[in-house]
Amino acid sequence: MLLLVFHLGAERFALETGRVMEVLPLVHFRPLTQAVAGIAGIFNYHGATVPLVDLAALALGSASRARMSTRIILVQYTPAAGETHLLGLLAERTTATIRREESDFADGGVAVDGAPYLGPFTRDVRGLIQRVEVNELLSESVRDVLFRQPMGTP
Amino acid sequence: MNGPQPTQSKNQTPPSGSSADAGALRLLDRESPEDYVREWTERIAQEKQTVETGTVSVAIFRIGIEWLALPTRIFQEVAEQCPVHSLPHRTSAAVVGLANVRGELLVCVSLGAVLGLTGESGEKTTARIFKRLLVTNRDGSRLVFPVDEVFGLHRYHPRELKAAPATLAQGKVSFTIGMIQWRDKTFGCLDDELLFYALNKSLA
Repeated sequence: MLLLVFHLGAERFALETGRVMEVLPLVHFRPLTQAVAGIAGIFNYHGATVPLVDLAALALGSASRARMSTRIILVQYTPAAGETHLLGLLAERTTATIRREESDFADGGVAVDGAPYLGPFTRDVRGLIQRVEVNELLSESVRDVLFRQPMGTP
Repeated sequence: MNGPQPTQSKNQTPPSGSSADAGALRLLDRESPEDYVREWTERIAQEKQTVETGTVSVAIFRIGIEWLALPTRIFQEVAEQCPVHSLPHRTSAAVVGLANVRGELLVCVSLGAVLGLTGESGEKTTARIFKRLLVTNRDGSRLVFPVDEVFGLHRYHPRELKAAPATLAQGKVSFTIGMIQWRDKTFGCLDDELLFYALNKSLA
């Protein structure tokens, strides 16, 4: 499978491209007032309102920096069968892809409570890359806030 | 010997094995210009334009005063005009002779003769006109025909086809699928199956 590599802080993470619809540059988005941590805001994607999750804010608690290499990864978020939403993921240094097989991934041996989206590891010459599971990104309470009314999907 | 140490960039530490990835990072690790962000915001906010499916691409060319079109897929090349060597003992008007296209001898036919077009060019124009040879390749059988001008490629949907006018000479209608309006011109869309069947027959 092909994976899109991005950074959270100094570490590298990868996202399976099968769920990625499009990689967009960072655009102006509208912040949501009193939103949950990790939700950067919403943006207009060809007329549809798509929520934007800041991965750095979600995982590290600090917002992504506005750089050329900070991009919006537009994914199909399928928390449950038959339920699909468009979701934008703000990720720093989204500049590369890698190709790996499922067998190239090994469990880290440490499961982080509260971060079920952190998956197994693979490695390359520069070190370890951790896979991020898109469908595990949002906790149920956040999901309720974002998708209580159907939005994003036309 | 201690030379000056290369300065490390402040906020990132790519190891010595730098790759294309590191190069891209160096290039992109900067503030995005405000114009760039605004432009993209607008572009992404725009309604998506859907591309119509089922369209057909044709190459438009002119023979005499007629604008004609044939499916793009049958064309292999648009060549410069070159001398056509006539073949002895050929009386068919359709076969002009042999053309040397980049060292290959190909049979040159006259589309005008098959379609029954008169060779006169009605238009008087100051613009420079480039005559061309169109090289076609249909399932490996290749033919060349000269045209007075090549206009380019155009994509149309079959429902845009209008019936050929009844005043058209009977001989040509049988090769015409329909007429297409393009800019200020109307061109005849030719049926390549029929046309090349007729052309090949005249070669025998």
